[in-house]
Amino acid sequence: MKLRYYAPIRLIMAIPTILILMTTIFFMMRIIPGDPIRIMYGDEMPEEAIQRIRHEIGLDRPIYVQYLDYMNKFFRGDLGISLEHKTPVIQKIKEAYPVTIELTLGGIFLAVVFGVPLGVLAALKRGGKIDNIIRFFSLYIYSNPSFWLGLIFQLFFGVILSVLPLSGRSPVTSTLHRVTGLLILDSILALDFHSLVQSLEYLILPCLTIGITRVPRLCRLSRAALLNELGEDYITTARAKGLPYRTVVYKHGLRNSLLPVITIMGGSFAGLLGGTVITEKIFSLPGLGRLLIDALGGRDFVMIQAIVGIYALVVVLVNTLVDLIYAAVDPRIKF
Amino acid sequence: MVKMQETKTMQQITAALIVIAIIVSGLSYINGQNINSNIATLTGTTEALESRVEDSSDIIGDLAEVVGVLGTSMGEIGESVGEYGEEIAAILEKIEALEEIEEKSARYILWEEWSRTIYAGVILNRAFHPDIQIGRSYLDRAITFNRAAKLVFQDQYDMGKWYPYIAESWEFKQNLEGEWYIEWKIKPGLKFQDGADVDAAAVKYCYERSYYELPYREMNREPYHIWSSENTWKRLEVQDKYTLLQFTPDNAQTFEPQLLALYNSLQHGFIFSPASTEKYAKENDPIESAVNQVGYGPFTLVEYIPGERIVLEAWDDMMVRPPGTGPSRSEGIDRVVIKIYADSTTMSMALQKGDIDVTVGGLLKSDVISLLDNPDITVMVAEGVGTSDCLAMNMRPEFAPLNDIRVRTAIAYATFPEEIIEKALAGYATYAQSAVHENFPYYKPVFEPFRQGTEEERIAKAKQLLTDAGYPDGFSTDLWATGGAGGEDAKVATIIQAQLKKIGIDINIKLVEVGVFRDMSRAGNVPMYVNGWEPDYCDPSTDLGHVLSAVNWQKMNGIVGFNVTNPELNAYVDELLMRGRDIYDPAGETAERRAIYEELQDIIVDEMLGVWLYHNDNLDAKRTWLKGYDIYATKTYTRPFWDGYKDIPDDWETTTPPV
Repeated sequence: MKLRYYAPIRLIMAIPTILILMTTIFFMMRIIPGDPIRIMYGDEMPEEAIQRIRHEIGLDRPIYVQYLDYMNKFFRGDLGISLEHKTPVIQKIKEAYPVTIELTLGGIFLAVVFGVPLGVLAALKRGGKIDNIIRFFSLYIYSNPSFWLGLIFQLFFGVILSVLPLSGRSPVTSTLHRVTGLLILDSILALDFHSLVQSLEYLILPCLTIGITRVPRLCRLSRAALLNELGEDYITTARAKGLPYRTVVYKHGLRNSLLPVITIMGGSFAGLLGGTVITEKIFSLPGLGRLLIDALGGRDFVMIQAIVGIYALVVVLVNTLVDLIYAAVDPRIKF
Repeated sequence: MVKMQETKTMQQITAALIVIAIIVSGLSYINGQNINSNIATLTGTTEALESRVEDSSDIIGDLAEVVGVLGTSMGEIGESVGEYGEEIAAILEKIEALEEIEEKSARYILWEEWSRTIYAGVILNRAFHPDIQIGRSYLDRAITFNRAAKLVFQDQYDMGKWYPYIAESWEFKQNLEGEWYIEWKIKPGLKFQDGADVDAAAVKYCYERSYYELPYREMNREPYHIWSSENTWKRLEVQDKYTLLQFTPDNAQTFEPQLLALYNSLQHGFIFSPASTEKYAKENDPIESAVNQVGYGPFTLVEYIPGERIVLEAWDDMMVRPPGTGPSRSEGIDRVVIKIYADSTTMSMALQKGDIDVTVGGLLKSDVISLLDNPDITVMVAEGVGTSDCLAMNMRPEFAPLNDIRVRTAIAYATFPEEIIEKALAGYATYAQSAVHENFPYYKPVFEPFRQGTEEERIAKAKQLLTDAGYPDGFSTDLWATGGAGGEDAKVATIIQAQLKKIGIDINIKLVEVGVFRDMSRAGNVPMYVNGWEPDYCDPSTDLGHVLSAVNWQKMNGIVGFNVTNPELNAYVDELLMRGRDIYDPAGETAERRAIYEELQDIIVDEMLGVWLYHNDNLDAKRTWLKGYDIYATKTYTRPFWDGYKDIPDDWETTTPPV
């Protein structure tokens, strides 16, 4: 099957996955204990008021009616009114998603920038001191939970050395006009170099926290993949032909060894997206993760359903995209 | 053959020589020609050069003249320099000085801006909404009391004493139909921040919006105002421009603390410009539009970035009021920047670093410990004004033996609040001898008899009571706590578990999420838990009403099962509570009220309705450079930014501000 036929089929196949996820979330939110209205408004609210609100929101309707209404609205883009924030959910998500996108992409970038070169270096120095050091370092980082690393980074870089900001997205003196909400992009669009530098400063620690936990895996994978490629016959042939060592390693070996890296990064995306929850809490970033945590505590099921639905959508789309990229990059892949 | 070859070779050589001779002759000829040509060229060139040399000589001569002139000029300049050198040097020095001043000025400006700005940090425990009447988070409290005003101001430095604020006076009266009402006299001449009049109509509009409109919006729904409205007024009438009649509810006809507190100390009852609200804070407007809603307060909200920060600016036109009688125009501060944090540890690090000057809510006691040794930080403590936490025991028969008063009394003997305060709360709570706060009127230390004697004596008494109840070897039960394993509730539960173990009671701690806990406790299905309530005003009716009343909404917060196991006593308690409110005398304490509230406190221990452990302290921390600002002694709903100020440090010339 050609790629141009496979791609739409793959995308269509993602729809049932999303539907199943959303259905699961819908019923889970109604099964777990804790009346959302009572939690929202406290014990001092008169029962009549609670019942009235429950009726107005539609929580007293049959479950299947609520489900159909929910699915109908979701696919029309109506994500409902947040019980906690008392505003349309879509509005809160619009405020929050740029933060999460910046954080996730920054984390991926740092993970790749550190992980792949370290893996290559370890492969090329296989068995030597450098290889051992890198592997030890990877294991050490892998052993530490990201939230702990985040706090250590804050303490060391933010308080002791005082070279990077502790939390937030921008200084209080920032005059950057936010267009997209992505501060890096907004700075570039505004040709505001000062704001760009400031935005990057604020992103370093959170992205490092979220990305560094992916470095060990990428490092080990890159190392193994490169070693595997360097053992192939075509590499031997290339060397025999007299090609320079660097050409053999980087142009042939490394390029081919990146294929599994692409796959892993796509799979890690979901983990990174979920990892933003903790990181956003530590660094006080108002992203989707923090919005979700707050919604869970307050039983704001409208918000929870919407965010989880969006997460599911993004993860499925990214994985689909990775499959398509993989197929496009590796002509051996057939559908 | 050989001779023939030799001959041939000689012939070849001869031919070659002839060719070479020809070539050489030819070359010589050509060369000669070239040489002649070159000679001619050279001659021409020489002549040209000679000509140029002559020209150059002229030029050099001219140059020499110029140099001579220059030399003369330089000499003259040199003389001038010599003559004005000192002045030039002085000018250069001035330029340097000006540059230094410019640098210092820029630095001074930075420091001045910093000193006129309070940087505050807050934990966003609930969603924030910029509408003045919506939202119950720490952030809402910190901001709304600075943006808007109420009819009266409660001085929390002075036991919650009421002072006139928007109103200049109030009086309880009764009409011909026997209805009680409060006659409010609004101060004439006050203006909101948008220039509109502060009058009786505005007050009525604000109160009625809170009750009739907000709870029924699809968006911006705020039903929390319903109960406070119903417990504060049943009808409002505008008598004239500056007179408002507030008809009081039947359950508190003249009970001033409730009537004033529920609308005038909590986040309800703020007065704001109806015009700005109609224009901005409407149902279908985006949330950010409520930023432009204005009230009458020392600050105006000027910037709101959701999840990141809020900026307030001082309103210079506000009247300056004497201290202790309400917010005043801010004299020392132009701006307040409130940064929103999601984590108490991060906020405390920000305080240590100097990114913020003060915390305004959400600081955990465990984080306070790390600040104590820092000489640049002051921990502000309002002792015992927080929640009054009690160990509640379910008295329903299905939770036997907790329904046995001897068992509950044994638990009272075996519980040591001082250990809980020290180990779980870092010392930041006040030992409770009653459900009523110690500094409130009619306080009686009813738990004192159960906390006298040595630990061994008390343990022995507890064991004896358990034996009398038929449990000489103790029993097992569950203690529910909310939050994570490292949270405060879990620590308290762990210590209680260890204490009760000594008398044979095996406690199984169940950590549950708040939502689950609320559901189960409302259904009366939780055996034991630690719970508390923060008082609304400085009167025992609030401490006792919340836990003892069985008739109103508060019953689920209170003693579990009391209304089931002893309905007659429960009804009697409700009568006493109502009576205590009815005979309130604003002039001071009365013997009859004392008798009522002391009897209620006695009932608590006679029936051992719960074991009161401690009254929580309220905490915040600030940098020592922030002066004039302190949290209130009796309540911390408000944040007096208007009193704060900072000095520019002496080393400003060589340092830069922390923010």
